[in-house]
Amino acid sequence: MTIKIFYNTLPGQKINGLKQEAGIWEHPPYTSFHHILNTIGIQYEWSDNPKESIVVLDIGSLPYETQSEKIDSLIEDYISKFGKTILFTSQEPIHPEKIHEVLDKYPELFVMDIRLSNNPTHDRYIPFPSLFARLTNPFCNILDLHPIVDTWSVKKPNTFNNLKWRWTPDKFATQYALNKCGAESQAIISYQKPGDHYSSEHLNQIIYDMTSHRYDMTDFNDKIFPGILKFLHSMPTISLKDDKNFNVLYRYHPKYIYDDTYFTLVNENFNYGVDDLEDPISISENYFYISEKTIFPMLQGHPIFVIGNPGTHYMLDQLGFEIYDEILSYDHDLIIYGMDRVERGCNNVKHFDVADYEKYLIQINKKIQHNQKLLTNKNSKLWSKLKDVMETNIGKYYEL
Amino acid sequence: MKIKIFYNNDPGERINHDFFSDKTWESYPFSSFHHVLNTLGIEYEWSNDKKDSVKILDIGSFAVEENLDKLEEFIQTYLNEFGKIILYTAQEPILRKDKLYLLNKYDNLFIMDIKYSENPFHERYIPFPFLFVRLMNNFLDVTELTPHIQLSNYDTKLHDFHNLKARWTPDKFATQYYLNDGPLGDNNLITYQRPENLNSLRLRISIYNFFNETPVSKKYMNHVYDFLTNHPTVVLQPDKTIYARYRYHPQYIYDETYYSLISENFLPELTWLNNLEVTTDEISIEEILNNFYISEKTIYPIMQGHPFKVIGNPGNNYMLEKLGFKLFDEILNYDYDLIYSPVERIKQAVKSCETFCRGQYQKHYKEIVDKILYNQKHLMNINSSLWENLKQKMLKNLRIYYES
Repeated sequence: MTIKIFYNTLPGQKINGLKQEAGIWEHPPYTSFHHILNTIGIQYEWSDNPKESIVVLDIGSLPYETQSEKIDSLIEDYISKFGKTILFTSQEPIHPEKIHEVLDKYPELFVMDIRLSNNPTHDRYIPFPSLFARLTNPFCNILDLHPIVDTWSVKKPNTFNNLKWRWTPDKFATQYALNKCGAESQAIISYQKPGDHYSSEHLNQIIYDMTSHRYDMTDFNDKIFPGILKFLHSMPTISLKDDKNFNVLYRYHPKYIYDDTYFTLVNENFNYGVDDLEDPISISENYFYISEKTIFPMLQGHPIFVIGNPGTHYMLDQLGFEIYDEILSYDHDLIIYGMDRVERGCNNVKHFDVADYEKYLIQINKKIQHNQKLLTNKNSKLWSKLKDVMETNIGKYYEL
Repeated sequence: MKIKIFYNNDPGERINHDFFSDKTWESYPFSSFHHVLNTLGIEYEWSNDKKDSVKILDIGSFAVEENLDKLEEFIQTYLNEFGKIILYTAQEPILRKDKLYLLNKYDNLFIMDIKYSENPFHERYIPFPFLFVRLMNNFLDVTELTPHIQLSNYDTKLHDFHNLKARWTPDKFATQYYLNDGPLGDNNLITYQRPENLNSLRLRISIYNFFNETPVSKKYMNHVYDFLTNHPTVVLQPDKTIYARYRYHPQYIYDETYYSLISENFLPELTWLNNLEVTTDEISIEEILNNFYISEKTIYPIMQGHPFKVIGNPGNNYMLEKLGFKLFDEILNYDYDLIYSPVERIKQAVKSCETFCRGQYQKHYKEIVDKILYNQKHLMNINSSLWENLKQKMLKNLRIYYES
């Protein structure tokens, strides 16, 4: 199969539709799709014939969940002009419900967001975890890694780092749980207060939705939730010292957050709800989400512990990454209830013992190297899988 | 062949902690070799068994030619301790005479510097053009590219070309001299770094030698020295601070110019005075194939997606084409490329820039964009023939190491 990418102005430039897209991290006429193919090692050609080539509608970070009207209008524009089209984002996940909604609405549409799915739930849902490729492609991201960080010391001033750049209910819930269980004092933490764009009512609602997602609701409404709101108002923004300006195209963490801690507590975005009756494994196999928040510390060479969607570590394990179960319990990973998962995760972090780290120092460092090699060796099992996934996706596009 | 990399402290760390520690761009105990293998997609294991593994003595940017005695002390120590070793630098080329001397003297020594050779002059010389890898590996270099540069603004570009020269060397000075000798100096985006000590005898000798590979008059040399004395440092405005691991050019140098006139480092061994075997005006193809040198100066503009012509060692542009890159011969003249004499090559290269025609750029715009994308894909797609060639080159080198 010769893969051809469609252009209508110039090869290498994004397609000019009738309407302007927005939300792409890079300025037009930039397009990321061919850069991702380059990083995965897939050969392609350019074509100005939409019938034989892949038509990509890049929506960047434009959220379908809240901007469906605008995106639908773009989709209609593309489909009427070029036929079969991929609604593409290499930046964000789309909520599973919305993926089905838009695919059912447009029979000539394919959706490629940044999830990974072992069993895609629609024959035109062709997700790809683009952040793996973005982080190692200098046209998509500038990655400023430290050549080496200290993972051998057993006398570090802090236990872990936990970075929370942009306020979301799940990050707030983590901050709350870390504070409540007493683990916060052992850590290098960043936290951002919610922005002014949240109305008080909306804020209370989304925090309620997040923190009430728990098996045991005893005393929640009367005692626990008021305490949570009190914490929300009292918790200040905490920034890292000696940091650089945040930029979605420039990935950097100060060296000391790794040198001075034993592991990274990653706050990965919660971005799909799990029904209480659903199996977390099958859900994560269908809609696995991974971003630079998880990938960067592994690339940098640090043990990780992720609080994210259920089954995050299960899926990382499936992809070939090692978990650090000599020093940390990951039994929070498959808990369906979001707040229970956060609280169990924070308690697991609290029980970290440096004596275990010292005891398993060599194994830990071997695992760090294994994970780094998996991420950076272009012949690794991970990159072979990513190539297979993209080729399968493109095959579906051509065949349907 | 199972590749094993030796470690004596911890896997992933350099085996030598000594005089060379501050000569590598990354600080001790960082080791670049396994990162290079990762980018090439070569599998390996770590081993602390000296017998079955690759032992790397990383000397970084250590000046071999000036410190050969010191280097020999270390080579002897490491050979005694480890048996077979690779004298390794992923940063610099080493002079052929020094390599030949060391390889002939030490039977268990291999040398891997950053050159590319189709047929290396010695069976234990196993060079590898590391800069290709460095620019693509996040642990070795921070490469800051501009996602998209302006190519279609043919009516509004301010200059024909840019020519960047951050560090003073005789060849960059000569390029500056000849650029200023004609009409190009004032109309293009050109940087230049004055040497630190203008009155140093060593500096004057290096300039004299460079310009006198065929004797020139005293009057001519006085003019050259006057230029040296008077020409100021010219920097980009704005720019960011330069350091070896951080690769960045401001976007405007691409947006405002039609092409990059690249000043690639000249290798001393490929100048007229240093190689008496050459009897013709043009370098032989065999010589080019065996002595190719490429650095980030050439790779970065190609990666960024800009037409280019290189003023470098003889055959630089020929060799790029041989490696699969496309030259922009619709708009640029590369006739100077094989001229052996450095000064003559620079003169002709500069002269050829005078005939650049903006109308031709506009006329061939689509072809130029196709070539730019082709070159970018060749560099960035890990499944391209370039990367397959590089991977096979490294595997061949390691096979030589294991089988010798």
